Amino acid sequence: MNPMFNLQQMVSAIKSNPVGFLAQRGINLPAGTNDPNAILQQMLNSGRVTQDQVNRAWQMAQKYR
Amino acid sequence: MAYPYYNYTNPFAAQYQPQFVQPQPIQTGITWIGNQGEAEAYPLAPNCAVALWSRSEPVVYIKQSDATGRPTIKAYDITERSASSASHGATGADNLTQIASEIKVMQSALEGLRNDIKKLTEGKTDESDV
Repeated sequence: MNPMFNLQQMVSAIKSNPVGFLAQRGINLPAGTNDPNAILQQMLNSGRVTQDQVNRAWQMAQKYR
Repeated sequence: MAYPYYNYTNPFAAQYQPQFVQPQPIQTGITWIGNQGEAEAYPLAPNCAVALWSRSEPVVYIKQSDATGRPTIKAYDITERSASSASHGATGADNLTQIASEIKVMQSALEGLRNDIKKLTEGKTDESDV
């Protein structure tokens, strides 16, 4: 990816094809996993992300709701 | 002869231009949720626990997961501690003092009754002996 990536492009890419987007970064999820919560759960179960990271991301996201 | 540095531009000038700094959201460390459905859907790693605070009502959801990742949720109602219940310790101490004084009064009354019974019993014994 271009280091000067466009955040909007990145968001639209992950929204349109989250499994493909993550697969490009070495995170392989079962095909058809489109629900964000299911994706997060898979990543938590596999240890790709920590619970603390999810909590902080959730807390950041709720500020922009 | 043209002055060689006439069109000179400072390459570091851009660094000194004022930049708009977007204020960062304040992180409180509290995870707020909208309802119990969000608590149930909240992603949780195996062997973890998280406290989820309801945004709409005074409820805290404690979501825990076991080693297999199976989650359980418990909801706790939050009640504010009032001034009277906050001074519960002092009230309890007052009650104890009152109870102790009542016990002393009852002990003295009991002692008086014992003496009365003793006197009566002794009188009866004297009569029976006669």
